Order: sequence, then C-alpha cells, then structure tokens
Amino acid sequence: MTSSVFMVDPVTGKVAFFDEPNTVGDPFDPAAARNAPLLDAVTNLIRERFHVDLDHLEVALAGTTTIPHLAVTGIAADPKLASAYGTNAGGDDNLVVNHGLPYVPICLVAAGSNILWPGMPVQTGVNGAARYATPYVDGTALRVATKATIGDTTLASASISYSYLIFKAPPAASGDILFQFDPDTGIVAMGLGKFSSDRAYLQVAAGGSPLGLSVGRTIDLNNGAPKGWNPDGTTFAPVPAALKTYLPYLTYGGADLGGETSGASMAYAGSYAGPPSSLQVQAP
Amino acid sequence: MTINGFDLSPGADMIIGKDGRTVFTSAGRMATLLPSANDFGTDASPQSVTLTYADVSKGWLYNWRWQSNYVAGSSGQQYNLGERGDTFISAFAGESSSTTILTAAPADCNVFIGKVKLSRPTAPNKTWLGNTIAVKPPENVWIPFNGSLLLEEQVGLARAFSIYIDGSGNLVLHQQQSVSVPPAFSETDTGDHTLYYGASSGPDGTHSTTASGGEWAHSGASGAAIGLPVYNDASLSVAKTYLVSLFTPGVGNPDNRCRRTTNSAFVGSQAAPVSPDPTNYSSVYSLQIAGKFGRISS
Repeated sequence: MTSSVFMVDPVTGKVAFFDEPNTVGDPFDPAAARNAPLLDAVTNLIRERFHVDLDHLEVALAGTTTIPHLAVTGIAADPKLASAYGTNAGGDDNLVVNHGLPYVPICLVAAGSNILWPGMPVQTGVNGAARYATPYVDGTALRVATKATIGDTTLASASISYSYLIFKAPPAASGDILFQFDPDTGIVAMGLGKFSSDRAYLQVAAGGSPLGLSVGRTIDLNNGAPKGWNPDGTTFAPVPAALKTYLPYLTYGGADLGGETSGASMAYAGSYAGPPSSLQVQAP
Repeated sequence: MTINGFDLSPGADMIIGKDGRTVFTSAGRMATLLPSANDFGTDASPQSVTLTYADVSKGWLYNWRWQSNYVAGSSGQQYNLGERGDTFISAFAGESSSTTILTAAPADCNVFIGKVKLSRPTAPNKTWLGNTIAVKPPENVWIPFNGSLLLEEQVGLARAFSIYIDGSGNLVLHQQQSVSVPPAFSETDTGDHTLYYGASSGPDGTHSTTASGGEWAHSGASGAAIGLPVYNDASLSVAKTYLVSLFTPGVGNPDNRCRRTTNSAFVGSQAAPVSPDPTNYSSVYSLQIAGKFGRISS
C-alpha cells in the first residue's frame, strides 16, 4: 500500500511531501523507485503535494486598486449600417501598482472574482457598449489599459476595482538548512532557502475567496464578431443583433433615397461552447 | 485549525503556519509552477512566433447613380445631368482558423501562465468601412496572458489568437479570423446582375422634373455571393456632369456613361475601374512569449 511521505534528502537538498507511486525499494532510500517524486518533481508532478524544487508562487504584492474610467459617448450609425456600432471607442491607461521588483514579474489581475484574460470585458452597457481591460507589466509597474466598444447609448463612467497578485521569482538554493523550525521566530524553512513560512504563497484553502483563472480558449469569432467567456462562466458578445449593413441608395449628390434592405445580423452566431473549465486560486 | 509551525500527523495533510496564517497546506489546491528549466521562453530569450492573418477574400461592388435637374436656361429648357460611379472593394463572409503546436507541455501540467509581447510590423494598408483597423491591445509591452486575445475588431471583421494547453497535452497557438455576412442584394435583372433603385430610367434627358436613381452591381455571376463594401477611394470613382438642352439636335446620348455591370454589354464607356484592388487587409504580428507551465489541482 502506498503512502503519503514527507522526506528530506541531505545529498541533493530536496524536501518534498508526495504520494508514493509504488512500494518498490527501501522507504528510507531517496533513490528508491517509491521515492522518485523526491528526486524528480517535474516527472512526478501529479504526485507532488509539496516540493521545494517547484515554484509555489510566492506573492510579492497583493492588493486592490480602484481606477475611475470616463464615460464613452454613444455614436450615430454609419450610413451603411442599420444601427450604431464602433470599435475604436475611448480608452485609457492607468497605473495599478509599482511592483519594485528588479525584473518583469508574473502577474494576475482580477476584476471581481474573474482573473482577466487580456481584453476581457470589465463593464458592459447596452447595444454593444462595453469596456475591456488589458493588464500589462514592465520592469517598474503593473498597469491596465482599457478600450471600449460603443453603440448608440453612452457607456457610463465607472470606478472599477482591480485586484492584483504579483509573484516573485523563486529564490536560488542558498545556505545549508534542509529543514528547520525556529521556535524563536516561528519560521519553518526548507530546501536550502527555497521555502520559508515568513513568505506568502498562492494556493486555495477551504473557506477562501478564490479567483477564477480561465483555462483554454476564451474568445471565439464568428460572423465577423467576437464572443468572450469569463472564468465565472458568464459570456459577452458585443456586436448587437440589430447591427446589419445595407447598400445605400444614393443620388449623384449623395442624398440617400431610402428604402434599402439590410442584410442579416452581424452579431456572433457561432457554436463554440467555451473553455472547458476555470481553476480557482486565492491570495494568501 | 490554525497551526503555527509545521504539522504533519500520520495520515494527515502537511500544514505550515506562521502568525496565525496558513502559509501552506496540502489539504488545499496546490498551485505550482515548474522550475525555470521548463520555461517556454524567458524575458531575456522569449519564444518568437509570427502570426500571419491573410488578406480577406474579396470582390467588388459597383454603385452607379445619377440625377437630372431641370433648369430654364437662356437657350431654352435644359437639364443638368450628373452621373457617378464608385467601385467598392468588397469582403466576402468567411471563417478561418488554425491551430499550431508550440511545444508538448510537461506531463500533468494544466496551466500555462506567462506573458506575451506583440507588435504589428505589417498592418492592413487601407481602412475598413471608413475606419482604421487598429491593434486593440497595447503593443511592445509584456501582457500577462492566459486564454485569448482579440487583436483586431472592426464592423464585420475580427482577428484573435489563443494560447492554451489542449486536450492532448500540447501548448497550442490557435488563430482565428472572421468576416461577417454582407448587405442584402436582391438582383432585379438577372441579365446584368444589378439592383436598381430610385427612378426607373436613367439620365436620358427626357425627364421633365428632377429625377434620380442608380444601381448596384457586383462581381461574379448572377446570384453569386456579394461582400461587405469595405473600401472606396478616389482612384476607383468617376463623376460626370453635363448640361443637355432638349432642343439641341445632336446632343450626345449621355445614358449610363458611368454605369457598370458584370455583363460587359452594359458597361458604360466612362465607368470607373474595378481593378486593380488597392487593398491588402493582411496583418502580420511579431509575438514573443515567455511563460511557465504548472499545475493547479482542481
């Protein structure tokens, strides 16, 4: 019968808590087949519960920044369109937080309980109006850029709260502490400095407030129009059903004689079922 | 239960706590990324991918329109006649997609968390329905990436890409392009593939009052699909005005000088050209990827 094993290897400096793949070999021999997850975390990933070689996503910064966005004024319909719809509507670019790390970190940014995929809608109005947010990061700051689509109705101004998680790159091995609990500081340290309980790591424990991370394709295109799937399963297809084109009946002077017949709706009409799932993560 | 320190009881989970905070528990969902040796691109040495979106499938639409206005001139009854012909490059409805395997993901990984940086060295060379086909996301910056990204959107046109681990365990790049359905086009004369509107006859100098009308014609055979009239410019247009006296013998028949249909017998002598097509709506993106594989247990 296999067991869950916590094991330390002083030769390699590895520390792991894992499910044995088999019962072959000496339980106390790090090189035994049953202890393969200790020496090779990548190949045995599904059996790992903890391993100092893995990046357990130490959180450098976590917080929330509220950004006010201006209203986007509704537009009139183009002469060839049966209703108004514009895709080059207003946008802005705002600081979320200065991260202070000496490299470009991995970041997750969420609106509500949804971790943003780039260009995910964060505010929706009527008749095609919506605001879309794309986080981006450089060596100094995490920022969010927004753009909008608009129909005949103004998209209201909005203050949107963006939660962020900025991750540190895992530290290189240093020192000689394989496993230590310091009763004076209460710190648990493992794996030659790779793990320390005075840091914060991403995970989800029962009773938390998780954020959804999309897995899979979150946008589908059809009929010249996009549709997006948010991590919580909600969807948004901006192109309104009323958007149709027609061939204008113009005179020589450009006057529209009217009476045109519009084509079919230009709204999304695809059959993609959306990404298979979303995963839940949580700030520490 | 709050643990301060390290707890690993036989048959139980490993719990690490500090100052009343659970730092790690194997009872929760494990969220972990693989070591850097398994990265797919780094900031300093990203994976580079070229995203090419082909030009759309195109034809043409032709709009001939006219107007005659009665004027009482010094030489008698006259008509100001005007004709105009405009060629519109039309984009046919169409869906296209492709999936490219970037690499095999390490076993049991279910997430790819990374960043992309993009630029568009080749942009569409003309407007689309009068609007620039802009790049929607910010360019030349690292964008935290999961799922998909809508690169371009105009009325009736959209382009997107996605990066994800597919059901076979491969990290894949999925590209998609879509062009919408066209305007309605009810051909009123299957002989010349046109849609007439306005007054029933052309500017032949016989109208006693102001009159106007026109017709739309399309490329291809009668009944063939038409496309969105996405582009028109001055080089694909003609405009003619002339004064006709009803009492001046020998005034040339100005009928349909700028008219054009797909039936060459009806092509006006001064019709606008329908070629060459000045548009190229292809886009080429340079995409850099730096990301990590990992596993978030469900």
